[in-house]
Amino acid sequence: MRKERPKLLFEISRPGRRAVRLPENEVPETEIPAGLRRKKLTLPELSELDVVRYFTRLSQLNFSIDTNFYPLGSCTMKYNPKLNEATSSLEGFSGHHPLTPMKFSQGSLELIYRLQAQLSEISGFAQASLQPAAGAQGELTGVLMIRAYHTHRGDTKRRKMLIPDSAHGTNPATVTMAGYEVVEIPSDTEGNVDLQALKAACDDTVAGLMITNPNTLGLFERRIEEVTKAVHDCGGLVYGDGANMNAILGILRPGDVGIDVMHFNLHKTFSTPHGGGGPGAGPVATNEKLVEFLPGPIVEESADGFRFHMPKHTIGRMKAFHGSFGMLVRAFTYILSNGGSGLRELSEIAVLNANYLKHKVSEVFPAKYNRTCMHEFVSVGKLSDRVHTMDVAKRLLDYGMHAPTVYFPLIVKEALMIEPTESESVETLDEFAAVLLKVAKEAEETPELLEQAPHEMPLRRLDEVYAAKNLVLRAQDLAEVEL
Amino acid sequence: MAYIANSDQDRAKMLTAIGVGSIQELFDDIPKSLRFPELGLPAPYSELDCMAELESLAVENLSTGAAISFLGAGAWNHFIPSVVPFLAGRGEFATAYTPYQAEASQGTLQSVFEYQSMISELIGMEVVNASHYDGSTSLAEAAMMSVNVSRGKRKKVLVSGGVHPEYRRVMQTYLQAMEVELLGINESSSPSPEAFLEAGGNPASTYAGDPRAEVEALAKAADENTACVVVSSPDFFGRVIDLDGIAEQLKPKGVLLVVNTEPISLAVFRDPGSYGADIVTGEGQPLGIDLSYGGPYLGIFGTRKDLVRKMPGRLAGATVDTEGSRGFVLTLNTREQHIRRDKATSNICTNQALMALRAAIYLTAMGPEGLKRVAEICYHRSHYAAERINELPGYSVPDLGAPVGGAQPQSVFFKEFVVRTPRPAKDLINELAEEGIIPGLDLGRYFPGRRNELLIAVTEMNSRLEIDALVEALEEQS
Repeated sequence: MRKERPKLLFEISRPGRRAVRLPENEVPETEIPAGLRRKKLTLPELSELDVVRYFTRLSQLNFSIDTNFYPLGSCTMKYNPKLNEATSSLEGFSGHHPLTPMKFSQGSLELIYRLQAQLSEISGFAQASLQPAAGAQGELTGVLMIRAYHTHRGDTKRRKMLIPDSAHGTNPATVTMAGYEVVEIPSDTEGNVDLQALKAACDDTVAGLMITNPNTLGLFERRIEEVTKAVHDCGGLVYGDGANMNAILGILRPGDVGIDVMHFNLHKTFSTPHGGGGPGAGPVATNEKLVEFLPGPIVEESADGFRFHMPKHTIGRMKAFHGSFGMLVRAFTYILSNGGSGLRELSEIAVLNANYLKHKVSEVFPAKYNRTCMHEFVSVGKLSDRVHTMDVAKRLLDYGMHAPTVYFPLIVKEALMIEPTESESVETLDEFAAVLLKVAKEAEETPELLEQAPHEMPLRRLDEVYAAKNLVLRAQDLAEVEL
Repeated sequence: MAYIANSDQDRAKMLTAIGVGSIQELFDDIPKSLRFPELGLPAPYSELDCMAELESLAVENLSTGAAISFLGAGAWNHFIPSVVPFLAGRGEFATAYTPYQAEASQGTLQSVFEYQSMISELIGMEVVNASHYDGSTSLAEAAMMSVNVSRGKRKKVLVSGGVHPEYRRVMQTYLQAMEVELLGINESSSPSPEAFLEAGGNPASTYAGDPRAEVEALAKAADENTACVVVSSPDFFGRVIDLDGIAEQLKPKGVLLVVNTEPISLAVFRDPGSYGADIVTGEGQPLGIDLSYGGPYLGIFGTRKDLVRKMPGRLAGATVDTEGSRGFVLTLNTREQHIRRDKATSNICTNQALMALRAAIYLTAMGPEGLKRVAEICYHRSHYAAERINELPGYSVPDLGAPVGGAQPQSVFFKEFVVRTPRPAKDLINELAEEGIIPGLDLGRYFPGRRNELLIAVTEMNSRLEIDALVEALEEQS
């Protein structure tokens, strides 16, 4: 990896340099009123080559799926097919204005309509809305729908949302945004929801349960039907967090086991690129109970072609326009490329790869729960009093491997969460296992090597506390702090 | 399958290694009767067939590349320099994830830091986060943040009628569970979602008067139960509003001023920070991001430094490594959901990193002179178009100060303006679209009472020739 400390734009900017040639104005000028006019604008001034070189060099400081093994648990860092980029870049899509009259938007509308149907089919639901922009927004959508459902029935005393202690942090944060209280449900010794504790918590003040299945330990909830039944019996609804859908495509339809509404992470399961942290897309699908509460607009077919419509009791819009459309084109392309049989094969191999890797590292990093895992597994990364999970993670970077997810889920101390995905070959898995075992050996023989890692990256270990204390959030503030 | 590496032989070897007879056995935990459902989806498409299928859909759209388009209203057809898609498309950027491991993510982190720096300059705020989903969710989160700044005590948000109707609808979705009322001028209570939809989107829909007067009325109406006043400048109708003195009226009452803006206009017009705004949001799509039928876009979000701990959304900050070299990390994570869980400022757990990168590349490529040139062209050409259309029989442009229906004062507009049409705008659009011209937005789409009005956007992508063609086409329809 390139060893350098790249300058910032303002440090390489020189007055008068230009990177773009723009047209003449062509029309008579109109005066801008003096009181409204901006006085000064300071932006970098670079030549076109400067711009290209600067951002190309920046890119080379990243690990990415295209360049490195990236077993980041819970994030499904699978291969992002280039065909998806080609289709979403077709000018008919990329240059399509969102307010073009529907009559002149039939291609995009048909794509939305077909993707709604595909996602519903894959998950066993009646209808999908492609509005939500990300997984977290999909969660908010689902919980607001559950809230609207109860309110619509005049059932207003339900204020609690049950959440297993293994859940993503977005679940409780979402519940707060939706005006509900969180009730945490413990896990049992097998890593599943503690059914007794769940049943004890179920009463007529419960709005519902948010459940991730397979859960964040990479384990399937064996008694999922009993779990959903317990919630339904007390009048609650069940939200399915679709973060781990990559394990069950064509294996199980969440709608078949009592989930009422769920979101998909198109950027995980359906291969749209993560983009360094977004954009994603978090469509939501649901059964008949909640169809009329979906956010809109959704697309329906009519005699005049495809058109938008708002569900009768919709919770509203989640964002302007029609969802993260560019991501929808990519996911649609991916589903067509794989077909029904291909999707099942993806999940099968994702699960096979995870179990194989779990087996290969089991001597030093045994899985916390000794069961067949789904698409990922959770081990403990702490190797001694001196060497912690974070040290293992940083040392892996030196070997050109992105670290697994660390310190999550919270119920496993010093967690190391590994998700290889179906994209990776057995050779890559073997190599990663060998590196992990080598790092464990280093931890024994030369622990300082891990404590001080990384050594081979462009920078040594970065000080997060310093950043939070000094809060330099823009180049303009650099002068105040010596950096 | 091309997206899976392991062959049948590999799979057999792996199964032997783990001591399992078949792949199916790995799924024994799943309820047997429901296991392996047959999915009603077609067989896999080849890469060629897939491309052909998508091409056949794409050509069904009348895209900006196929038409002469004057559509704006929250998404605008701006020029995107070649370097933007070329650089942002690099796999090292596009296929990385959230920079959890900072040492392996300096490309993403430094580009976010550059984005924060340039947007901070543009909007005039001390702190800018790594972005939200789009302009509408930025604005909704700004309203929520305002309520949270008051520790949930203030239960009213006053919204200008110049805010994009879809943004207002998103705010209503986000705030529905917080028991906060969204009110416009002359509104005594928040409409229910159903009533809102029946009203065609915006209950304050008839508002078309002097935007400065409306903002002053909102500032006056704000009281000790008001969390913030939300205004848009340029507003949905393209008008740039003089906000001098508004923040000063709100401050003594403890009410925040939230301004939604459009980034390119800020190359020539005063930034919201200079008016004392407390939170600034905006749609970043004009900064090098494809129209793409409405997303993915870029939610700009900035605030004052003393409010940073109340701000939702990711932040990149500068720091040092163990050898003292400068580097970047995600910072102030203690506000966020993965640490604070149910006490977090928001549930947002990503940003639009790749879109923020596009904006950073765009602003770098444009530089101060380039961005100013784009803004000036938008301003001059939209005024040229407005004046020509205003001369046509049956058409008028109220913002030019035309004496239609009484005393309409002249307004300043940036790149969009409202045109009153002699026939329903919808009919005009349908007829012109057949000739390959999309003349603008039918305001009746959002405001039932405004069916004879078009909202026209003119950018640097519309040459004088295109504007003249529009004028001619409208004249034929009068």
